[in-house]
Amino acid sequence: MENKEHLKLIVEGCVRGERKSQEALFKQLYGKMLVVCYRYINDKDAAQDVLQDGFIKVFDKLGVFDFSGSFEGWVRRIIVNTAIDSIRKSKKNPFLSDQDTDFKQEAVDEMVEKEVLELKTLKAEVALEAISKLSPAYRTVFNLFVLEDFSHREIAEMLGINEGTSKSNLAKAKMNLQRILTEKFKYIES
Amino acid sequence: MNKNIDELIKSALEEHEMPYDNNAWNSLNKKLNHPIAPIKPFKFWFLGSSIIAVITISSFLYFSNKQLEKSDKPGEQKTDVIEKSNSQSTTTKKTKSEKTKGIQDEKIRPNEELEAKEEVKKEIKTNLILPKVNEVLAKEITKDLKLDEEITNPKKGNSVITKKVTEPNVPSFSNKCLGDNLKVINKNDEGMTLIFPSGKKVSVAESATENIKLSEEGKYELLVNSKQKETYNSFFSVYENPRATLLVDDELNYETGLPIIKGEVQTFEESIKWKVDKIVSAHSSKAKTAAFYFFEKGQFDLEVIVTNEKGCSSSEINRIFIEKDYNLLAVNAFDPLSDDSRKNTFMPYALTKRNSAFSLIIIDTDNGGIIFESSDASNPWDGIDKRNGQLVNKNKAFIWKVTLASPEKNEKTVYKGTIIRI
Repeated sequence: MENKEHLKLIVEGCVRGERKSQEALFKQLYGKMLVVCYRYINDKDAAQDVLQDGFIKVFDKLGVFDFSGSFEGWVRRIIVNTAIDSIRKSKKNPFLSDQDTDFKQEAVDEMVEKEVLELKTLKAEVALEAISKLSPAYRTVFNLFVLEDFSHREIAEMLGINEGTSKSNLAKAKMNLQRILTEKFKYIES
Repeated sequence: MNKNIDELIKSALEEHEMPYDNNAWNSLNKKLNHPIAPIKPFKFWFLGSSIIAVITISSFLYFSNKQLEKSDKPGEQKTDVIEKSNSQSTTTKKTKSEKTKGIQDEKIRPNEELEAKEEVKKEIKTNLILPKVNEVLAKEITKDLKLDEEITNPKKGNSVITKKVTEPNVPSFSNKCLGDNLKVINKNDEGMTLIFPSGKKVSVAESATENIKLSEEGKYELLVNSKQKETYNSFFSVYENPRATLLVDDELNYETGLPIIKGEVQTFEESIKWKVDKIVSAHSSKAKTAAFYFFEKGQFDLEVIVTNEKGCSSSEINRIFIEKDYNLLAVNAFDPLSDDSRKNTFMPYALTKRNSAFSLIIIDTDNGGIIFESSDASNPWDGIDKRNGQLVNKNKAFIWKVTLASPEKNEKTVYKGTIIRI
């Protein structure tokens, strides 16, 4: 309760444009939100940029947040949207192809079905590294479905792909992750 | 047992936080101080130029065509005339004269027509390509605009995502209380309507902000006047405020030797808050009754705020007038020779009731000498000057001074007054 009140004070300060409150909010959510960015953007500096752009949007839209839902969830969604937006914009020539090709199924895939990963826990750094090795298309769908809990229908709408592509990309993302992690641990053992 | 890859990664990352980078805030602060325009201006410039280019080219083409038409017609007519002159000789005069003119024109500029036709072809080609480029540009700019305005309205925590960037923004409100002012910020290009429980409607124009007083209890609907098939709306309820009656003592109560005024609120609600400026509460201020110490004279507002389970509050205020400062309820005269035990000694009355350590001294105003000392309420001054063991003179004023060892919060430590033996 006290935390919520405290948060409310910070948010109110941010709405008034007070730098101290903005700094407090940024520092409070920095660690978690940077992880979110890093899951989508495979580059530390670019992830920091996305985080900053995301927070600028957060500060801009704070006035409409009414505390009826989870504040962290709300911020996370803005950060996720900013990250997806950044992937879209990162295309070298936006006129050459459809904006959504980034999220469409990739042609070349290495399917690893039989290898089963014998792991009970995973370090966060290892998990992040494995995700970073996925292609943007797989990584984005995996993040949205597994870590952000969106449905395939919602993902399809967000990325402008069809549900089938979303499902297929997820399946392939999982297989690739399995392969990446299996290889990593094999290497460590040998 | 193997964990599913999803669970494995989810559990690894769910609570993971990256360490804070000390420069992170400085970088963001710089961006905040020097905001980048959300819409890339060159795109507008590019679009603008393209539009101008298209208009210019189209106009050029239009006029060129006109010209061509003019120059073409005589050509056609020439053939016509030739054919006709060969086959028919019964053409009207007027037609003949026009056709002759045409032939003359054609005869003068035969090569120009061919050049013009070639140019038209080129221009038509360019004209066919340009709208496509502009369409892409327009699409891109629209996309940027929409993404920048992307609405992230937290209707259901993190479970709902903005379906399409083109969806109108419907602000969602938590439940309100009767009499509240609702600030509706309409960021859409379409108007919005707030529908009251009675059906009364209040409009909020596009891109406008309205403060609307919620004067009815019940369910409200906020609706975007969208032309799209889907309905974009949100609901919230307005609840009535709790009922409360405040009863306050008319005068100070000194039962405990302290200046107390008690208040009582009659309400069914459990959440109660009492407020008086600078005045300390003597008892729990969350209860339905509360007592406050008034040590100084003045005018005070005793307020009680009652909140119901919906979070709606009512406030009741009662104004209190305190006529004089509290001075330990000390009398200013006594008669040591009286038979009345209440009048023949001096001890500030409050000290006999308050369970508080103190020291009392009586001072001779002539020389400042202390003629009596006590720290026990059951040991009052009986009028004897301790320096000579004799009763002090009649009608002479002496100063008394009490120092409290542990005064109440906001109470002064030292009290002073005069006392006369009569």
